[in-house]
Amino acid sequence: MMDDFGINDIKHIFFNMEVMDGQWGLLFFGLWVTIKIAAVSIIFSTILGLFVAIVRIQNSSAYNLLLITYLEFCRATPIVVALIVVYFGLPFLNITFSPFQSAVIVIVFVHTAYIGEAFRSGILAINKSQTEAAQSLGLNQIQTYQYILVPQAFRIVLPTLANQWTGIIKDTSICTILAITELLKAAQIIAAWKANPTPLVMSTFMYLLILIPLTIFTMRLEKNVRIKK
Amino acid sequence: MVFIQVKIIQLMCSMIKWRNKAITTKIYKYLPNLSILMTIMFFVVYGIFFSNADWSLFQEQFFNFEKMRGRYHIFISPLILILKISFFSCFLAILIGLIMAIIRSFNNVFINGLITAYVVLFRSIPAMVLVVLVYFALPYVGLNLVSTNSVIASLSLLFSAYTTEIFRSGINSVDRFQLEAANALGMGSLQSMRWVVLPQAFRVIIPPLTSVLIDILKTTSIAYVVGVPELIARARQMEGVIGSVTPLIFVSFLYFIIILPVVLFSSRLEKQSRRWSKN
Amino acid sequence: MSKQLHSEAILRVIGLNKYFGDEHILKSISTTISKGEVVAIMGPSGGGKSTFIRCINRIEEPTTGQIYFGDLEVTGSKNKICDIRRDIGMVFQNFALFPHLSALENIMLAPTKIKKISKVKSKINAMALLKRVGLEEKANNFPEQLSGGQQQRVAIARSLAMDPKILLFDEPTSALDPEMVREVLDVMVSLAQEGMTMVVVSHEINFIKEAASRVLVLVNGEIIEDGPSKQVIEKPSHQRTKEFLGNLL
Ligand SMILES: Nc1ncnc2c1ncn2[C@@H]1O[C@H](COP(=O)(O)OP(=O)(O)OP(=O)(O)O)[C@@H](O)[C@H]1O
Ligand SMILES: [Mg+2]
Repeated sequence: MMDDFGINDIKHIFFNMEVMDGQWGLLFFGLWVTIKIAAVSIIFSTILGLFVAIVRIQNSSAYNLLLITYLEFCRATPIVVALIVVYFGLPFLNITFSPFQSAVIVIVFVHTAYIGEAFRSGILAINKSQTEAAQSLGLNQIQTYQYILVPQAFRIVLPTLANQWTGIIKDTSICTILAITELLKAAQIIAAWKANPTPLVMSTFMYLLILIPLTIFTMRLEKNVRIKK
Repeated sequence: MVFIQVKIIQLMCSMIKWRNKAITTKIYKYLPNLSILMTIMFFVVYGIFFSNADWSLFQEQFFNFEKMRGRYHIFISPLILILKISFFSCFLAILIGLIMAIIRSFNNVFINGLITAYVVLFRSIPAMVLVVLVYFALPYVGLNLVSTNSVIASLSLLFSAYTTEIFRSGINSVDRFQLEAANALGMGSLQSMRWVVLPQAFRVIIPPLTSVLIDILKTTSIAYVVGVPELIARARQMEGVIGSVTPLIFVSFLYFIIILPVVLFSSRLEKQSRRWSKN
Repeated sequence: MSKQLHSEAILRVIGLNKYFGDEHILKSISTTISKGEVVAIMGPSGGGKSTFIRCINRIEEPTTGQIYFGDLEVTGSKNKICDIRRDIGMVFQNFALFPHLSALENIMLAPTKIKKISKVKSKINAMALLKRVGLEEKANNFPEQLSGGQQQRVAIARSLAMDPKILLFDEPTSALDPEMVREVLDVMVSLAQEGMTMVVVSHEINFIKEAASRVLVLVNGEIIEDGPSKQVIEKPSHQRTKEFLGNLL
């Protein structure tokens, strides 16, 4: 069957711009929603991850136990499941989140664990004498973190962090299962309405347009780290 | 909350003017643990007995195993399906990754460029997007994949990008001299790859491979979108029938049970390999 | 002679003990350091020199004993320790410059963030300090762009920026290539001549002869010798010191 298809057929099916006439608005709206979810999630999970890492480093075994449990829980729970529980499950308890809120809550919850772990290993990789030098200048603990440890940790974990951010952007597409018109959902709506996969292809291109540079950036950084070692 | 407790006990200690440092440090060491325990207990006790939260509602909606009774067998076939999808995706991803990594180690600039492009592409594309694309778009060219197969195809493509890199770094971790020694023994390049390089690359490869396995297991859950009769789909059906979210909770529990051993195993391996690399 | 000139005690250590686990590293050390003194600490490796000097600003937590800086207790409440540390400069063996900051920023960090001195003012001050250690043209270099000797001089300038009343050095030249040792020692000698109170863990005999007013010899966690530098180096009273100095020369 495949052999019957020429270039023109493929163009007609997958790159049919007529189908997209008047539909770009919806697609770009979806893109905007996706970017909003991603941006808010990235900001929150990075900040919270840093906080988790700092608490972890204090080496209080109770906090550590709690946070390790949290980490293992996140590693073992698919985001789809978590999303469905939060969005469709919690209303049974009269706790209702909007799709946007549910998306952000779940993504932040899961990725904070990973980012926290990354920051922790980043901070631990900093030579102990940095802390001592900061202390001997009279910086208190908060100042030491603020001016000495966190800036250095950022540099160390940047590859991992970029990877996590890529992961967050990718995970926004899972929110398509909620009642929210993010990019993939928008594409699916148009594709179903026009009975043509072009919108899906277009949305894929949009994702790739954002994610390929990030992936290349991440891979560059990873390579640099490898060479430095 | 916890900090306040710690401060209070610290204050008490300093008021008593504990001069014995050993005892004081021991107290300080266990202080946060004690207070976090107290805090958790406080919230549990408060939540159960004193708050006006409707715990019977919570139990009825989330842990209503009464209504689940006699329905557990429904989850058996989707569970097997999930494991099947994971197994085949994992197998194919490893196969593709291995082949790519071996081809790459021949250092042909053009082919390596292609492989890098492949890796970048599939590292960039979100799993959900690929699954939807494969399932909904391919039929238009007459390529009708069963939903399960479309998921397997997507997952293998996606994760082969990661396995390619894992195998490559594994192969790179083996000393160049090893290969030369093998060549000197008269082995061809494929033979030396099979008998000399890969066995040594193994311990670098295994820990990241387990995390790929974890990711695959987790990602199977998006098969839900393309109508695969898997765990979540079944749970949502049942949820409608019995009017309680319990099946969903049960499914997340199932996922947890499947994935957790792999997670623990992989954390163990990572620790171990860190120790190796230190030596 | 210097003892009579500056009799005002700036640092008093009373019965300082330090354990690492069960290991008794510092054994009931007591000593007083007066204003303007340059005290060299010598002793075999593992004798506890670093541990002692790090206890002084409580980077290492003393197990028991008291340390007074002026009339403030270093070993007292932990809340005031940051304030005390501002007046105690410290220079490390491995420089410990902040790699993400330029030489100038390394020096300006503490004054601007802790003392809240304006950027402009602290920059002028920092440039003056860089000039003093002979590095004004390296102000915008990052640590990895500086040689070891230059890094150590920046580190000295960094601790001087807080106007410390006392400077602690832990083997400041032992991580340096021989040709760079002199440039760091020159800075330290000029500091000594300006009357800065210093405690220096060092085995640079020439520096000690030239600049130190007093030498402590620390062996197995005990001060076995304490006296004017000339006397300790030329006529040590303790057999262990003689052996040690013999190895050194
Ligand atoms: N953090 C630590 N934990 C356990 N033991 C330690 C620690 N730091 C130092 N020690 C031990 O304390 C002893 C004294 O160490 P210290 O570094 O003070 O010696 P030192 O006189 O400075 O030696 P060197 O001339 O080699 O620098 C050593 O036996 C060392 O093993
Ligand atoms: Mg030392």
